[in-house]
Amino acid sequence: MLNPGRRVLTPMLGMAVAISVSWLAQRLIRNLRFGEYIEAVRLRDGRIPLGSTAWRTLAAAFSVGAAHRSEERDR
Amino acid sequence: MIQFATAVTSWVGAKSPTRNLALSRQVAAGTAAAMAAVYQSLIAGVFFAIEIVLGEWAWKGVLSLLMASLFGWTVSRLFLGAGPLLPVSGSLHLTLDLLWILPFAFLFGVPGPVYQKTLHYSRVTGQWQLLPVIVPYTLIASYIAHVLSPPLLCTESQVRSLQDDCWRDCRLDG
Repeated sequence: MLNPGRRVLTPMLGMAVAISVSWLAQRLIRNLRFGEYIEAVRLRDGRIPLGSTAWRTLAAAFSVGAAHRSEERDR
Repeated sequence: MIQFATAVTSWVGAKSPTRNLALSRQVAAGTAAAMAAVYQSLIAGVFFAIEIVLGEWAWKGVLSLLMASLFGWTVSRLFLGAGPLLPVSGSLHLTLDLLWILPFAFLFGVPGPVYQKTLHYSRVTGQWQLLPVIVPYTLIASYIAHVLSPPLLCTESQVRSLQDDCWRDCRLDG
């Protein structure tokens, strides 16, 4: 069982890293625009920017990974 | 993962010289393939692509979606083995005496769309007065759901432990 302090801190740490990755992406790439796939199919003829999606996937990996890590420890 | 798969589909589709299928249809097929690969659910991938992504029943596109779903499923089975990538490793012990949870499910489910609509409305109109009410409500609902969920969702080891206890009690009684 994960102690309450780490239970709160682990997802927060994941969130902080995810935000840092998003911030870095915005600094590195000009006009970074993200497009959800449902919106893209219905409104933009299926065009989804790959670069911003890759950065966002990386950011999401940290937040999901942190949550998974705290759940793993719980078992 | 699904978002990334659809982005790759869109990128490859835009670069591809063949234009038999509209890019939006290709992305929908990519969604079906990704769903089938991640959750290893062939039919659900097709239904998701039709109902959620495309938002319309287009019978002539079902075959291509099914083919994409089948390919996604096959590749996932070949490279990653059987079972979904994101398995739920608990068992939900839902019995009739737990029906009291249903009103709570409704109560906690409602704030989600309300919160999204409020955010959208606030962004459009520039009025942020409702957020101080909605945000704490959502946080409280999330916390209560978090407190309620552990008794319902037991891990495999907990189920096994419960079964062992039950067997021991039976032997003692017998």
